[in-house]
Amino acid sequence: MTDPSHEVTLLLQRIAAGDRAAGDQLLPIVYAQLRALAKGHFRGPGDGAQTLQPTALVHEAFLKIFGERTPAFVDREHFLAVAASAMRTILVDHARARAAAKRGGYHARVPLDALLVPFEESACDVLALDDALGRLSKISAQAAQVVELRFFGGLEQTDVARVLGVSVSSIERDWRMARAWLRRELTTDEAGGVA
Amino acid sequence: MSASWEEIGDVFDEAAALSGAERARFLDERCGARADLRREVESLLEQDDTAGDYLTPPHAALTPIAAAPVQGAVIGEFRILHRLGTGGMGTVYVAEQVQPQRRVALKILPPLSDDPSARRRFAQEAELLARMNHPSIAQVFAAGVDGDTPFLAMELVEGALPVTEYVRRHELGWAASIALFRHVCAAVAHGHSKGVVHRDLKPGNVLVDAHGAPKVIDFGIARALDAVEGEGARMTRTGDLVGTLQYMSPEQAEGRVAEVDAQSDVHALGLILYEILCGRRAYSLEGKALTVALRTISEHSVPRARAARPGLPQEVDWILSKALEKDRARRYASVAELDADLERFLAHEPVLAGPPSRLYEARKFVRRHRIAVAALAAVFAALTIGLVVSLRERARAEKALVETATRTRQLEIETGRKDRILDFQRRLLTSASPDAEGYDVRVVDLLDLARSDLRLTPEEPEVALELHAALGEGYASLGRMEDALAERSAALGIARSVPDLDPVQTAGLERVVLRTRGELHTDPALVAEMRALVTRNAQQFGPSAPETARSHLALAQGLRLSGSLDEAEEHARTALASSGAEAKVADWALGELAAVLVERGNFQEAEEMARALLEQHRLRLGAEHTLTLFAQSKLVNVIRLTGASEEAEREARTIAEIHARRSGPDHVATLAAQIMLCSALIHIGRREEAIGIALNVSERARPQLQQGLHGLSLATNLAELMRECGRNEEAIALLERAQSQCIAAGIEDTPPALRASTALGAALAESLRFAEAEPIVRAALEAGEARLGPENRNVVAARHSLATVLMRTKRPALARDLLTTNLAIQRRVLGSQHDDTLSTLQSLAEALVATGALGEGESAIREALAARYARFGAEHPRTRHARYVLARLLYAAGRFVEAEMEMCELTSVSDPDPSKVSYLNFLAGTRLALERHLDALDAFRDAHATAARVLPPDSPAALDTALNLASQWRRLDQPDSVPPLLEPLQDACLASGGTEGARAKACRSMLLKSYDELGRTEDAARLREQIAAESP
Repeated sequence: MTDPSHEVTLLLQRIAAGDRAAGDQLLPIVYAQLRALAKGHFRGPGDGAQTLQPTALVHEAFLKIFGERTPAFVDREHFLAVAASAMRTILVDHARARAAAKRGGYHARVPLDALLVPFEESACDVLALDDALGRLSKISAQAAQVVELRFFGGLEQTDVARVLGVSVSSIERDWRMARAWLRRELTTDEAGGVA
Repeated sequence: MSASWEEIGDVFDEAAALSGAERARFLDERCGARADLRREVESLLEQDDTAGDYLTPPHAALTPIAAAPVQGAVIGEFRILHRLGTGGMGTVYVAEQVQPQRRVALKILPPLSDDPSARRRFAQEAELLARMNHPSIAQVFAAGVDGDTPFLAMELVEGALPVTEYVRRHELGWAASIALFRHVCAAVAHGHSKGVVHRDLKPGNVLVDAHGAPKVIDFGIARALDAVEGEGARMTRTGDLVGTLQYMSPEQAEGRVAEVDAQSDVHALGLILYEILCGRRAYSLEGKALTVALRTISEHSVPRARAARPGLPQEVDWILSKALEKDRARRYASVAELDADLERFLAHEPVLAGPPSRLYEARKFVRRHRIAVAALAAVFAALTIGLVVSLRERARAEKALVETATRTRQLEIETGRKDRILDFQRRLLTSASPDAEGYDVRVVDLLDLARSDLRLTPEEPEVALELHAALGEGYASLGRMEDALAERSAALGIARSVPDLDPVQTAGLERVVLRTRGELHTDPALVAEMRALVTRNAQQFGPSAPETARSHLALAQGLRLSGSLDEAEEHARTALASSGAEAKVADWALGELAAVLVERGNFQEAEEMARALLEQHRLRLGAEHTLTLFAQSKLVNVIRLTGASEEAEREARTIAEIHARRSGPDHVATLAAQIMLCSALIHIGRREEAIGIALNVSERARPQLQQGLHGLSLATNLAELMRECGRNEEAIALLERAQSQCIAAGIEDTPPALRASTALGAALAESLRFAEAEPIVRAALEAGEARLGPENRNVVAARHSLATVLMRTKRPALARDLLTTNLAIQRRVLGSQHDDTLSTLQSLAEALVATGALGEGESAIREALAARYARFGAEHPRTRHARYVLARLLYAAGRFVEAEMEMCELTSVSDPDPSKVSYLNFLAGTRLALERHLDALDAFRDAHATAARVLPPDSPAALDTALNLASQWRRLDQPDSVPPLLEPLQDACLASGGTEGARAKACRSMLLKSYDELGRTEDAARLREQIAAESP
């Protein structure tokens, strides 16, 4: 068995070299880390007002693992890309669970609720967003990736361009279009017809 | 046909920048009759206009939001005073303890995992740590868990410096350093005796306090952390990994965790001692990719300490080597052993370490047979036998070495010595094959060894001269030009000081020194010196003497490389005329002359010359002689330029067969010949065959690729071939391997290695892996600029490569700047008419166009075009390409009429070839822009006809051409021509992919519409069924 710290850095390196499978291997590790961190912020069942920005958590995870100075051959952006994906999964899973619990009548406040607050505050349904993103990825895989990286990972446009290996202008355009597209999809859904 | 994301994006992008009537007008133009496209765009624009800050990514907080312990907080019985530092393992604070009254270093670890056993295990580990009690180990006073937070309270080391820093600041001599270090060894040994391995020794963990007492900190922390994390969240201590990468043992680097034990600590201590004594780290890993770094640790031997610190006693070197052995069986079995040996050394007793195995043999050997080994090493290198020679069996190796040396010594005074050294060399080689196991001795090390020994003892001048020259030869063959120049200059210096030395020999050395200088810098002053040499030689030896001829040729080469082709030709011809009896010189002269002619574009004459040379050799030496084959391959190269590709392929095949028969299928020469054959095959369009051979060559070439510079150029050529075959991934793999070998051998900054680096960058760019390509090419450029100067040919090439990457990643302004630099250099050094200058000019034009500087771009491209036209004529591929760039520029500027004219000229008279297909397509495009639809149709039809002749029918270019033609038929309301054109291509379109099957979509859409318009309802229905059946 390999030393875990060894493994992560090597996985990151492989991701940077374009190996998709490495991202899949890294995901559960990051996933667990994020959950642990989120739990760490939780003050207790009575903690009503606390809000947690997902992107902030992602960044914190990075700092926690690598310290304040990023070492030379650790690719921060690739880590954040994987974390963005993990974060999205966490949020979606949790939103689903909570919706189910609500239907059941009762739910006590649990640690991950804090992550969903920012979405609720801006009237954005995480599940619908996730669904729409899935549809978008069938039309343009890159555009969906851009949204995931920016919105869940908090990467800047130049970083996204680097991770995906395309130009910044391509990213800008994709972002803008994807945003318009998603908005259209999500408002159409709610209104039940063409808005 | 529904619009694709890209299509919508193109329109959306531009429309979003407009508003109101302008936007509407633009949409009218752009979308035309495509209602679906327009609808999509408009609806998206509507959303975009009103989006506000919808879906704005929340601003990421960059400071941790966790409530970290602050000043005054109490953890356990400790009160926090202030923070000391943060690392991957947790944060350290200075804290106060009440009972007893003292300050401690309080380490806060990550929260305990959910696992119930975590708490217990942490307690166990902590107890273990507390049991260690040694003056040189930072004591663990207490450990506990506050809520969920584990902590360790340790001895605070006041005013501490890392040991390396301490030694430096206090300027400790080596004896004092070693004495200090021994205390550290004692500490680590103590820990081992308590069953705790440190696992993370590095200067940062070996502190020295204000009193000069060393303290090892973080002893065993790694284990405590393991306990804390438990099975759940796998905390990644990558920060640690990275920090200690420098001090990692080979077994750690290779992930063989089961073997990481006390001996890994021994290795780490060895590295620390090395750093203390040499003032620098044993491995230089900065900026290296992780995988390369890890390989360096497991494979690269550490440079000898005495190289960095000459006054160091021999035994210390031995001790270091034994501590740093990659093979654990040969390493000190324990820290106690290491410490004991150090003690013995300090007490002037003989050390157990003894000399490091084989290197010592080599060393002892050099001592005894200085001269022989120096020559041996030089010849080793000159034969480019290998970068790494592993002397596998001691007895055999030693015997062979002794034998060789004895004989060589005898031969020193005899004539013809080099040939006989070669002979014994070969014998030695068969007993010392390159091998991964066993202790490796690098040829470079042997050379360095020989060189340093040479410095220490004066020899008879003639012998010293020979040695310097031989060493120069050796370094040159490894590409270490600066070292080669140093040695050759030394040889020359000696030659000049010896009164009765053969003047021909001296003149020869002068020539060689000038040539070596030429390899390093492109220097006009050099040419002047070469001229002077020629004049001197003519005076001294006569105008027709062989050495004079040779100097003419050296001058000719220098002139050729700096672009003075007329003069170069003159001198080459002079040399040829005077070469008389010396066959070698005649060959060289013919070769040089042919090269000059090629540079001038005088391919016809060059071909005649090459043929003449070949004939001569065939007659004199026979068809299978090395020189004949050499001449034959030169001919092949020239023929390819004149375009007689069929013949080139035949000749290349002959050469390859002869080499295979003579030297075997695995010989470097055979492989090189086969690569040449593949290249010729590609030129005549037999790609499949070429790919087959190339893959085969690649397999057989594997062992050869380690063989010095030949191997390196073989790898580079093979990679280029792979690229031409469209096998880019293989090319990348080849070059990456070559690169790590260069690093392992320490020659990554030499011109051939830089060429390989640049090729790797280009290949990565070809695979659109720009993010990876860019740093590689940048690094090659920087290294080249530093070592070879900004004007060196290889550096210019690297700069051009980087510009290409920048262009393709849409940073034309940066590309423009780089190209401008190159252009200035090339204009100065090569002249404005030189082909390379013109290529740069052309690329610069493209960059200017991309930055919108159409006017400047146009002047540039017109200049290039005029020059190409003058030199090569209208038909030459380069002239045609230049014209094409101009036409594209004119099109971009909206000057369609001019663009069309240029394209007409371009496509009017020429043989059909793949580029003509692109040109014809573009010609049609210009005519479309001018609304001349019938003329456009003509052009599309020509394109289609040409494609049928020169392209494989299912290649993307051929398919696109057919689709364009079909599209134009439809535009002219002639749907009946579409089905016969597209029906046979449906499968190919499907297979070709394209952007989300765009080709297949377009093909089917046009077929369907045509069927409908022609009333072929059955066909239409059948096709619709097929489509429906295929969709998910």
